Amino acid sequence: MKLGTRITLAIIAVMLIPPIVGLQKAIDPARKQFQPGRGVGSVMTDMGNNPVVLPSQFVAGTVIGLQEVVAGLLWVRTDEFFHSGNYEAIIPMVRMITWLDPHMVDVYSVGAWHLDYNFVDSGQRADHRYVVPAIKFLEEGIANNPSIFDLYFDLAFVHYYLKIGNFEKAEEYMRLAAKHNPPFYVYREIAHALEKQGRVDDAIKQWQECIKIGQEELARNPKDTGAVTHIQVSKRNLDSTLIRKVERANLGSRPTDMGFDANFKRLGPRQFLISGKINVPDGARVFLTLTDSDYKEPTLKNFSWDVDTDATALWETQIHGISINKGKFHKKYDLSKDIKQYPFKKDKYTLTLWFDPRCAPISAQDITGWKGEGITDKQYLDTSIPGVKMVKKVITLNRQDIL
Amino acid sequence: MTMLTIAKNTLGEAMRKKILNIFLLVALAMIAFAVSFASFTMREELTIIKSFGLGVIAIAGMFITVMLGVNLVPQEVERRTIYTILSKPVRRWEFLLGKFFGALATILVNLAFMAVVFLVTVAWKHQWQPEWALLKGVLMIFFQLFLLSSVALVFSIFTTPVVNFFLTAGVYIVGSLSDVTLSMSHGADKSPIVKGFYWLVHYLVPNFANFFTQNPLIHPESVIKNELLYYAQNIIYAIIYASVLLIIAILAFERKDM
Repeated sequence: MKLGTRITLAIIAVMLIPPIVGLQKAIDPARKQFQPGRGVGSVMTDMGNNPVVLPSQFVAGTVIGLQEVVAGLLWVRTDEFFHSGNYEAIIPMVRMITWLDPHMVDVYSVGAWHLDYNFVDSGQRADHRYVVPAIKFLEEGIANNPSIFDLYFDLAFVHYYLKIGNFEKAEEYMRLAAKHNPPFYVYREIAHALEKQGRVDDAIKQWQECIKIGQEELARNPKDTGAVTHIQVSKRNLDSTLIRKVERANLGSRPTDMGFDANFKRLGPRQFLISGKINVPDGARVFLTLTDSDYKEPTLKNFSWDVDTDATALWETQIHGISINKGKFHKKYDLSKDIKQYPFKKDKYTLTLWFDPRCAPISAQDITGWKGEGITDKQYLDTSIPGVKMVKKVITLNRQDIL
Repeated sequence: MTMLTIAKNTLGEAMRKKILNIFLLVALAMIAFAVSFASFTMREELTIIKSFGLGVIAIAGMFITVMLGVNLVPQEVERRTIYTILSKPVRRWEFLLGKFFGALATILVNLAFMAVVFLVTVAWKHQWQPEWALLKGVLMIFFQLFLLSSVALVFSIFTTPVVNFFLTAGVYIVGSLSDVTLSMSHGADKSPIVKGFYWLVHYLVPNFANFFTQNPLIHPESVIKNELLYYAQNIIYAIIYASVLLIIAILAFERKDM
């Protein structure tokens, strides 16, 4: 090759370097949306009090840009932990997986459900201290996947609706889910959440909206059997709601005395009996919380599963609760095997027992109304929530009353 | 024409290499093995199969490229066939580019095999709905390997295959750490020397991380802006960078004593 050609080639090579740098500068800002996960090196500083040790072969995988592969393999391993009951190991795994691949929606969903429901005491009651971390985890998932309905609905239904009983928040997130092309049941659950809030007229409008959405889909796709079922269910629920509206219209003018009372009796160290009476049909439940008297829900800026291990929070609400049988309720609690979950380290405790008509079954609501409009009680009527009437008794306990 | 003959010969020879065939067979088996992840929901299974499949293609492709690239020139020197070839009316640059494009064709054929098995595996798990979009990921892997093979070619002029293997792998790893090098080249709390060093590393070392585009393909519901522009920029980046490396390789090969 001639000297002149060599020099020309060298000049061309040098001249191509600025375009390379320019292209890289153009590529860098756009790269994040193709690589949303974070490499192991960059997440270590965020671990805080939750150290996560990633096996070296996985570290190597993330170094050469295989975050998604590592995340997938870790998820396979996590599934084994679920089957073997190694629940403690799961949370660090889901933390790492969602760092590596924040678009793994199912990991957020399952991880939050696991936090909310799987850390249980010997009586299968979930550890309430993990509820806020579960919500934060889902909120992080939503922030990372804002255009997908799944996590909005998961937070709304699995957590706010079923677990916590905050139907206003449930409705809020269901409506957000509805903006992202959800399946039919999301629209129906909005109506249920409205009914749970006692907003009957809004619930009726939502059932009508459900029918309209189903009919529009059926017009587009006449073979959509899902739309047919959705319309049938919505029509049936609309009819039921209209009938109940008429039947429950005058409950406020003839309120039922709940005759509510509840008692605490110590049976032994960390063992006690809760009993009482209430004038509602079988199938309804009385809820209970027993917490440190200064207990406050943690305020987390970001997700962390680092719960306050000194805090005591027994939470018997929603799917738990104490069943009412022939106007009476009673339940024995033995927390002696669950010292880790209920450390009882404080001096004072607050025991709260209440009946919330919004969470009651239909048969009970036929007497109480949707939000307690048919309720009265000489001693324990509670109207602290605007527009809602319930019965509630608060008992203050000392540590020695329990231990 | 000469270049094409050399390229064809390189392709034929490479496809007969046992070690590369073993890499390919293992990769194909691993992609097919991904269907054994069957205890999840449909979406989870597809996510894992897609990520695993694209990952296996990327890793196997990388090994095939490095193994092929490090031996391109040294093997011809060792077997002394290069002297026979260069004694004929074949210019050195034609020989070098012929070898390079032959290697590239080999990579392409290997990727094609893996891509077919991968697409069939995904389709099988997805009620026989083919997901052609996944080919974008394979395309990006190809251009990443295109760049990597040009790195291996440059080193193969100067070094032995063993040294070249580690050098090329080292460049690949450094070039994959874009997040680190980019963040280290910014920030008020870092010294100008540190920032300058990482700036050079980030912008002048081949940036292999650019080509990791699997995530939106694994999660098709992700919203991506200017996707085509990003792919186009990366392809142009790979072509320009590889051109610079090929020029360096040609210039070095011209002056090499043989």
